[in-house]
Amino acid sequence: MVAERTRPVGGTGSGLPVTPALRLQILLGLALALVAGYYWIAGGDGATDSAALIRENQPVSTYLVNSRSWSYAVDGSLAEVMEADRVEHFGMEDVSLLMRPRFYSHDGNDRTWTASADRGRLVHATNILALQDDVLLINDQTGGTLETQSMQLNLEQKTATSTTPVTVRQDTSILRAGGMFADLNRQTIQLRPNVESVYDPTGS
Amino acid sequence: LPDDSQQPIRISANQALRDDREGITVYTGNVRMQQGSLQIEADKITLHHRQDQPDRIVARGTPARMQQQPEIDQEPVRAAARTIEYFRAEERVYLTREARIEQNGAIVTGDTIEYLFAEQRIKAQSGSNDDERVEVVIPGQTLEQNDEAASGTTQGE
Repeated sequence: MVAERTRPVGGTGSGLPVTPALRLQILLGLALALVAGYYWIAGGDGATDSAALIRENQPVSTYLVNSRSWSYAVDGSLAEVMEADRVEHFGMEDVSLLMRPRFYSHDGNDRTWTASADRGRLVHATNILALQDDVLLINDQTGGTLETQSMQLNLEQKTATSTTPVTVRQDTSILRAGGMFADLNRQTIQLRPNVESVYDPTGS
Repeated sequence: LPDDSQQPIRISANQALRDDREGITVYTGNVRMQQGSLQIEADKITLHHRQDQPDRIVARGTPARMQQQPEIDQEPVRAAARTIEYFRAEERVYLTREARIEQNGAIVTGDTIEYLFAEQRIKAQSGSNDDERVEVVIPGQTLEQNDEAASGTTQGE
């Protein structure tokens, strides 16, 4: 009786039998690797994607270099100053992308605060400025600073929100937390979760 | 320890509200404070800071708890109360409502207790109600030790 050795489909006859199911798994694995590689190369953080998407989907309506804009309150007092190394405005979505934005707010009671970052995205309809990378918020009266990597500034309500780790410094005290909500007019900051703080009474 | 009040104050909590205008920071949720050997655990700690120097710290809990080591070779002092107020510059704490302080088995309870770290001195006060009297419990062997120490000195004289 001759024992017939069945050769696996597509196999070389000497190694692992490559069944259709195995071949499907290999192809699936390759596909996933390609997709992951594409996202990894594209630098995969949301902001870069959304800016890139805007630029892909529509032409720039206007762009400014070394821009500065002032806005005044009803009584004529200076309310806000917005500066940026470069501003690209996209008319269709009424969105502006800013490089190294710096925003100064005066609330008329001699209280001013400053916000800056590497990148910004201003949605004009809602007046919300999303700041990204090396975000710094400074209370000019107390000298207190808040550092984080991303923050949403509501320019109308004068509030700021962050869901990324923040560090608040004031003289010799340091507070760290997993996120924050700041009311800039009331000068209050809610920090949560995981708050850790250090106060050095000797001031050193 | 004697230099506790010069050590950094570390506070951790679930959340905090910092109010620059009022000069306070309120910590809530599993709050722990440490300064050298001084430790306080509470539901809520309010830190009052003038020019960002924390000078008064109010801990509230059910109860709030405190522990501090007066000297390297001594037992820690343990205290508890509904409210513990810590005055950093004056190195004293003020315990109010269901106040209790303990060291080496000696226990003092009362409506309010003031404890001075540097002098390790306790001042206790009763409340307005009759059932809030000051009580002091000193364990037997502590009394004996004090007697021996006292008689030892009379023989020596």
